[in-house]
Amino acid sequence: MQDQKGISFNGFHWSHWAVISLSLLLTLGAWYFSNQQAEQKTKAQFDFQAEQIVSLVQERMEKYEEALWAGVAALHTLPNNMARADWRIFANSLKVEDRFPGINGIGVIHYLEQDKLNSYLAWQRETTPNFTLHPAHTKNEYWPITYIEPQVTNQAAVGLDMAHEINRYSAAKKARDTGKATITAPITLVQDAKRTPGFLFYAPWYGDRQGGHFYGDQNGDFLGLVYSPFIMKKLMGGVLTNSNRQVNFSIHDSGEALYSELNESSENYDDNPLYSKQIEINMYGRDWLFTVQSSSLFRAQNTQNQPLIILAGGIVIDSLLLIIFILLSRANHRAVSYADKVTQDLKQQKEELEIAHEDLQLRNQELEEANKDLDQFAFVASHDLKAPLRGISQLAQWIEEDLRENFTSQTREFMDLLQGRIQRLEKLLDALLSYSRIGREQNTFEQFHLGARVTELFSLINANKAFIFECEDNVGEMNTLAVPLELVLRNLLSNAIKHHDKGQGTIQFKAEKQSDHYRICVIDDGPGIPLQYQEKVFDLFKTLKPRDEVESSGLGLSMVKKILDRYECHYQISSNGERGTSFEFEWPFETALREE
Amino acid sequence: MNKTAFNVLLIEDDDVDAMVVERALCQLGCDYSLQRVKDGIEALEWLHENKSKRPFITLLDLNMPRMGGLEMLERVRQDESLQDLPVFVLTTSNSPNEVAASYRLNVAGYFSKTSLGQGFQSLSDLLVKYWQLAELPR
Repeated sequence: MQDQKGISFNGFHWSHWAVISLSLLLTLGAWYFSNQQAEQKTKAQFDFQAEQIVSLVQERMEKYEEALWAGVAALHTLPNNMARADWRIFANSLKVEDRFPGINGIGVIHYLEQDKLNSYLAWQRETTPNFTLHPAHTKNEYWPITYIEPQVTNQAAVGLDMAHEINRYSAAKKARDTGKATITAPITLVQDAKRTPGFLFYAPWYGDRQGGHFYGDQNGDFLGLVYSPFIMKKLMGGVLTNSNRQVNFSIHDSGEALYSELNESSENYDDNPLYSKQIEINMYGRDWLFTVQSSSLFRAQNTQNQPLIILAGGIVIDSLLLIIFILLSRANHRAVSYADKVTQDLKQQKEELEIAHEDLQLRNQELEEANKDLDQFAFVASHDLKAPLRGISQLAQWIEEDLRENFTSQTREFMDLLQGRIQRLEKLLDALLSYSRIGREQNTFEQFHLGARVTELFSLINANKAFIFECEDNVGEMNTLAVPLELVLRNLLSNAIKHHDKGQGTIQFKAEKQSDHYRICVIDDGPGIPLQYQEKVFDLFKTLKPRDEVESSGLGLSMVKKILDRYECHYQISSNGERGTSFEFEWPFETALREE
Repeated sequence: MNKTAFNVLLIEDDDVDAMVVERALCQLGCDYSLQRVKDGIEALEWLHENKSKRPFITLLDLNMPRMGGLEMLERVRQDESLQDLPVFVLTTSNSPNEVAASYRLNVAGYFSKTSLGQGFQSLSDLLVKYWQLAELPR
């Protein structure tokens, strides 16, 4: 027996293990799959966020472009020698600071070749007496910022010549040559005290009205640029403030940082981002490289618990399954051990029964032996008793012969009584002998007619013909063990006559064949047997009358009983206790007798 | 026909029964010579010593001490010098088994003392007639 208290897996069937393994596999599979799904979803989310940042920047730049083109349009409507005041009106009406957050200002750059410099300067000095170009350079053309609004914050830029520095200059020329809005490579704006990265956004201005004497190229075709300066930080602040964003990003132009949130000081910065990607966009003539990475907020919002919940739930279910199986197997174990115990008990009982049975068999054997011994004893005793008895009888006769003349009447009577007793003892011994011989002798089968045989028997017993015999035989010819059957019939018939109280009467004999035996009945019209003696009549030496009245051994019915018991026949004696006795018995068929 | 005296060997352990036989023979009034032994062993000894006294008939009891009648009969029938001996069984028992066993051993007759009645008169008559009429081996 296994320990019942500890967890025992011994009772586990392979199917239990299979179920547990399968469900564990299923759990892991579901976890893995949902994890994959979640990851894909997160990735998609990140991609979306990254694209959105880029497109927001693009969108904003487009808006600024619109503003620049609006400036160009305005220039077309204004008089040739548009004054600073006119530009201010335009800029004010544009509400740059409100409608274009992040823009540092909007201004006009006039293009002038060498020969127009003086007239340009004279023109400007009409309204702004100390207007100069700066810084000095050796190029033979000039790209001065003439107007910039709001002027206050951009004072340093007034009069700044784009040709003095390569980034500003090349972008300006590119704008002129392509006719498209163009931005510069990263530069540091003169008006930015912090000296952070920035750029300029140009829109070229062409006209057909011969720029006059003050500006424009030789053909009078290209007049200048409308431009906006951007401080990157400021721009981004206007475009998309970094608050509650799920991504951080940086922008590089040709390896030079334009803008970067990718440092510890940024809000929600994640130094080990879940995702990051780079997107390159052509932005008005420049290739901007966006490096986008997920923020800690993204991590917080997109960390999916679902797979973990699935895993945990699955493991809980598996554990429950395991517990159920353990409980089941324990219950099963208990049932089995109970069954074992019951089986054990049954076995024990069976063994006990077998022992009892063996005992009984032994007893039976002993009893049989005792019975045999008794038979043997009866046989030997009666046999050996007969010899001395014969001697006594003979001697008594000789004494009688020798002394006959001297007998008195009383001696005569004594002598008769002596002889009578000797004869009775002889008969008893004879009867005892034949009783003990029942079953000792091998009997043989004999074919005879039952009715004829029984009538013959009766006539032998009914020597003085005082009794009438009524034979009702429905059996006829039969083949059976003649000796025991005759012994039974003879005893029954002689009992009927011997014990009849009237010395004459009718004895009936009935025999018939039944389904599996013969049924034989002897009925007399004698005195009957009182109820209280009906069992005792089968006892050895039992007689109901003194032997001096009815000479009888008392063994007749004992012999009948012994024979019928020997062949396992049922028998029944019935008498109403007043008149008549009927003795019924069964007698086996030949086949049953031969089987024995 | 036997002219010699009636020779009888009586094998009987019971003195009274022996007396009955002797008395019955005596009462016949004929010439007889009776030799009695008390059991089978004595009988065999006597038979071997007295072969010259043949012919005689033997009256054999069955139930005897030391060696019973049936055992003795078996030995007689196996003994070449004795196997032709005429034997009558005279015994107390009327058991069919013993009757059958005796005749299997070729007895000339089986008599039950009980059924013979008192005095064995009829038996002695029969035996004398038998002696006188039957041819016996010598």
